[in-house]
Amino acid sequence: MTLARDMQICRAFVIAALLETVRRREVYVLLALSVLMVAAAYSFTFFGVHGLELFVKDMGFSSVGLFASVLGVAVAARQLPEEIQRRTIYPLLARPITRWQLLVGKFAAAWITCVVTFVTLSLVVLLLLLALRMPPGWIFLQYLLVRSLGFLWLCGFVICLSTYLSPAGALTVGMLLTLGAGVFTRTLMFVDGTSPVMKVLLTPVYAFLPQYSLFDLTKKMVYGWEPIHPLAIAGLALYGAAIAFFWLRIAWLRFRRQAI
Amino acid sequence: MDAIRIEKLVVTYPRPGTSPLRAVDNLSFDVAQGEIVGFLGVNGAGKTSTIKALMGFQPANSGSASIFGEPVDAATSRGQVGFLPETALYSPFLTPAETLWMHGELHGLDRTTIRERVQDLLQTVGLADKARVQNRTLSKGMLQRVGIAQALLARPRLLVLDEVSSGLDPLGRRDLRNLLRAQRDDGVTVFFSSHQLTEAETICDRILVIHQGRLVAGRRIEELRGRVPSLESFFVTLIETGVDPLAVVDRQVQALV
Repeated sequence: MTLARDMQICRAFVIAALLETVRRREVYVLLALSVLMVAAAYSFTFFGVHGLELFVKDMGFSSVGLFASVLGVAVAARQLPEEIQRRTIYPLLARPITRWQLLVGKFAAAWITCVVTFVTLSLVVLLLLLALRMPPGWIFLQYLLVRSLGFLWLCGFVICLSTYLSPAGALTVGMLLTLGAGVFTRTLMFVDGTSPVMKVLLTPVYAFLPQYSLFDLTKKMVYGWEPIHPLAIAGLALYGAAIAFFWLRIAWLRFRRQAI
Repeated sequence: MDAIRIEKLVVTYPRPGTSPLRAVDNLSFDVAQGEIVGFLGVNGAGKTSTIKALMGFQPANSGSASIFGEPVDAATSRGQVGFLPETALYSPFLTPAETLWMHGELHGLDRTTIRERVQDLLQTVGLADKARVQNRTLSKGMLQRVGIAQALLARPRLLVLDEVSSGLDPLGRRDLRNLLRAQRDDGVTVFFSSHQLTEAETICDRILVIHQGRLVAGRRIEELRGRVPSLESFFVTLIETGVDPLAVVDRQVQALV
C-alpha cells in the first residue's frame, strides 16, 4: 500500500513535469539543435571530405548527451525552488504527503523528464544516422540505458544543491560540476598519484565527486565496441541509485525542517 | 474532539545581530468542529506564522498544534484539511483541470473520484469553460478560484484559508462567502485569516484577534451585536488600547452587581 501510494505521488509529479517541459518548448529547441549538429557534420561530405562516419556519429551523440545533461540540470534545479517561488509549495505540502515523499517525487519527475528527453533526442539522431547509412551497433541500447542511469546521479545531486543554494546558484554549480565532471576527476587522479598522504586525503573527495563520465558510452559506441558486460551495467545501476539516494538524504537533512 | 487545538505555541524567526523575532508568542486557542472562525490581526500580527505552524510549513519552537487530535507533524493530520494560501501562482504550463488532477493524486484519491470532483468543482468555481487553457492565461482572481477548487477537492472536514479574499473582486468575494456558508452547512469547519472585517462579521461564528503574536480577544459574533457599533470599531479599539472593550464593560457590570 505504501509503495502504491509512493508511486501515485511520483506519478503525479512526473506527469506534471513532463507536461511542463513539453509546453515550455525547450525540448523542441534541443531537438532542432541535435538535427542541425548531425546535418552540419554530414555537410562536410558535400565538400569532398570522405570517411566522416565516426565524426558524424560523435557529433550527433555527443550533442545529445550534452543537451540532455544541460536540460537535466535545469529541470532538476527548478523542481523545488519554483514551487517555493510560486508559493505552490504550500498547497502541495498541505496534502497528506511527507517532505521526503515530496523530495523523492520531485527527483522522479526530474529523472523521468531527463530520460524521456534523452531517449527522444537519441532516437532522432539514430534515425538520421540510419538514413545516412551509419548504424551505431547494438551498444546503442546500452548507451541509452547507462546514460539514463547517469541521470540518477545528476538529478539527485542538483536537487540536493537546490535545497542549499539559491536557484541560480544551484543551476550554475550543477552545470559546472556536470559539464566539468571529467576534468575534475582526471585532475584529482593526477594529484592522487603524487604522494600517499594526498592519496588518503583525496580518495574520499574522489568518491563523492561527480563520476558522470562513467555513464558515458558515447566513444565506445562511436568506435563500434561490442556491448559491455551486463555485470558492469548492474554495477553502474547500483552506483547510480546509491549516489542518488545519498544526495537525496543530504537534501532531506536540510528540507525536512526548513521553514517555508 | 476539536478541529484545531493550539497550545502555548511559540514561533520565532532569527534576526542577525539581535534577539529572535517572536512572531507567535505563547498562543493557545481551539476551534470546534463545524464553526467558522475568523483569525484577525494587523499586518505582522502573527496570523500567517500561526497558520504556517498549524499546517506544518514552519516548525514551532515550542508548544503544540493538532488537527482533529493528530499532531501537525504527522502528514496524515492533513488528510482531512483543505488549505488555500493568500496567493499561489499554480504552474503556468498546466491547465486548471491538470492542476486539480495532480492535487487529487497527491491526496490519494482514486481516478474516478478525481474525474468527478474536478468536473464538479470547476463548475462550482465558474471555471468550467477554462478547464483546458493553461494557467498562465488566467487572471489572478481566476487562479484564486483554481486554488479554492484545489482546497475543496478532497471534501475536507476542515478548511484553512489564509487571506484568500484579497485577490478576488466583489463578485468573487460574494461567491466565496456563499461557498463558505455552504461548506459550514455541510458540517465543514472553516478557519480563515483576514483583513476584511466586514466579511468576517458577515460569515463568522466567532473571531479570534491576534496582536504581536498573542491572542488578545476571542468573541462570538453574537456577543458583539448590539454592544459595539461594528466589528471594525471593536477591532480598532482593541488594537489601539490593547484591551478588550467588552471585557471592560463586563467587569464594570459585574462590579455594579
